[in-house]
Order: sequence, then C-alpha cells, then structure tokens
Amino acid sequence: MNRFDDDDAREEPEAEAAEGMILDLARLRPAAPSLALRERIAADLAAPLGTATTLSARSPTPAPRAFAWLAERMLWAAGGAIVAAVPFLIQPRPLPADTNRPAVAVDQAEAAPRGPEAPDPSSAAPPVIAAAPQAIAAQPQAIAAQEPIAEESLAWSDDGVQFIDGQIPARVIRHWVLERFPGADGDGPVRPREDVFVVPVALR
Amino acid sequence: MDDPAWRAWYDRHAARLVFYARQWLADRASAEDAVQGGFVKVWRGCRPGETPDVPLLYAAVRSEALDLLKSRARRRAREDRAVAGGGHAWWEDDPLVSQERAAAVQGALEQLPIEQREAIVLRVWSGLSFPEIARTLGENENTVAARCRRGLAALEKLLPEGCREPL
Repeated sequence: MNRFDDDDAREEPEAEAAEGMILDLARLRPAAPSLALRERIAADLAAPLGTATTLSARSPTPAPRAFAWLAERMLWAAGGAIVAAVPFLIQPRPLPADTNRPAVAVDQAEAAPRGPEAPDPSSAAPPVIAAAPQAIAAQPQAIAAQEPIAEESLAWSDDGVQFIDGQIPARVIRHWVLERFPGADGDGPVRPREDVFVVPVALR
Repeated sequence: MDDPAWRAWYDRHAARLVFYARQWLADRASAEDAVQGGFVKVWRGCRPGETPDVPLLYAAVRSEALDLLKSRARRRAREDRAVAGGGHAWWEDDPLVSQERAAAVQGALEQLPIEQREAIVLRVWSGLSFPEIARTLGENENTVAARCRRGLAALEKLLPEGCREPL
C-alpha cells in the first residue's frame, strides 16, 4: 500500500524513498519518560473525579482554573466601581424643587390666579416654566407687542445630542429667560421665553 | 483505580506520547505534564475493559501541550528549571546509532514547520497511519500525507551531508 496516496506513477519512487526514510528514522527511539510520570498518572486515576491533578514534582503549582483570571478581574472591576460610586453616595441630596426656584418666579406664580386645572407649582418641572404661563394668563395680551425692559436668566438645560431630521447630529441646549415688561407701578408683567440653541456636532 | 490494563497501555505508548508533546514543549517535564493530563482524561473516559482510541489520545495530549504552551509564565518557569537542571535528549541511548546522527535529526526536525514536524513524528515515531493522523489533527488525510511527504523531503535536505546515509 502506498501510504502517500500518490496516484501518479511517477511519484512511486519518491514514495518508496520516503518509506525507506521513515523506516530509517524510526530506528531512533524516543527517550523513555521519567519513572515518576507513571506514578503520577496512577495517583490521578486512583483519585476521585474533580481532584486536581498532580503535576510534575518540579512544578507543584496546580493548574489554574479556566475562569480564575476572569474572576480576579471582575473583583477588581467591582471594587473600582464601588470606589467611584462613593462620592456620589455621600454627596448631600439637592434641596426640594420649591427652594431652588428663583424668587421672582415664585412670586409671580403665587400671584397668578389658578384655574381648577392649574398645576401645582411645587410639583412642576422645571418649576419656573410651569409657573410662568399662569403669570402670562393674568396679563393683558398687549404685552406681546411690547419690548421687555429686563431679562432674567432662569435655567439652562442640556438635552444632549439629538439628530435633526434624523440625520444631522446636534447638541440641543435650552435656556429659559423671564422677560419683564414695563408696567404702571414700575413692576410690570413678566413672560417666560425659551431659547433653544442647536449646535451641530461631529460624532466620532 | 488500579487497573493493570492502563499500565500495559502506558508502557507501550508513553515514550511516544512524551516525544510527541515535546514538539511543542521544550523540556521533558512539561511534555510529561501534557501526557499526564491527556492520558488521565482519555483513560477516565473509557468504560471498564475498553482501551482508548489512539488518535483521540494523541489529540488529547496535543491539546494539553498547547494549553501549557499558552500559559507563558509557567512555560518560562519550566524552561528556566530545564536549563538549570540540564536538558534531556529526545532519543534513547542506542550504541548502534551514532550520537552525531541522532543530534542532527533532532536539529533538522526542530527547523521544520510544526505542521510538518508533528505529521512526521506521528507517522514515524508514533506509528500512526495517515487516517489516524488525520483524525488526531482534525485534518484531511491527503493534507497530512502531503505535509509528511514535504516534511521528509525538507528533513533530508536539512540533514548534514555526512548524516544522510541510513542509520
């Protein structure tokens, strides 16, 4: 049998030469293993399943478990996450929304008349915006044609990156301003205004 | 488990298995660890009275040897110990075989690509047929035959001039 599976008759001599070389090389006999190997295998076969194998006497360290390295890294990652969370956990909680509200907005909201469906200003978010429409409702429509005499910044809001028309990424930032209009007593009506800044950004 | 069957089986195959494992692992201790791991796994999978499938055993030893090879820290430590404790020759001392020739064959084998070397070792020193080698390596039979043929041709060229005649 030609062990090299050569179909071509021209390669027959080559295959025969190879067979001769194989027989020649096979006269070199591999060195025998150490006597300890047999005893170690005997010990392993005699031990119950799941017992760690005894490796060579020169390397008594047992083989690491397959996921030991992963478990160790997971522990380090969990520790790091806990350390990172500590500053947030010990940080004092923000005050209730009512106390954060600008004084002028609170005054206006409390001064405005409320209908039966008027929202509770203490539960609205952002509070200044919820209160402002009621203040507007109390004022005559004439202020729409007037120029404000003063503006007061109330709040900023970063809405993050949004896609305009579903395609163009842009960062949307909102700014709420309280416009104050001239009045007879010097402290005229107010009106909220919302400015929306759309800043195109490039996503990497 | 003191089954005498495994001992007889071990005596017949151990040296070949260690030699095969040494194609990846530089020192004998690591190669013996690979043989131990593969042998125990395969033998434990046998039913009483059965003997392991030879290609499966070689494949298990190969897998263990590659795993050991991957654990670099252990390998380095073992190689350091092997250097400190002196190397072990690949071959049995045989007064009928020239030591020079034996060393030349080892040197030439070490220069072969591992794919050709392991095919030659399994064919020449483990005595496996090409279908058995193919099963061991998970390769096509013609592929391993071609590797063996090319490897032997390269081996012959790598041998020094004075070592090419038959042993």
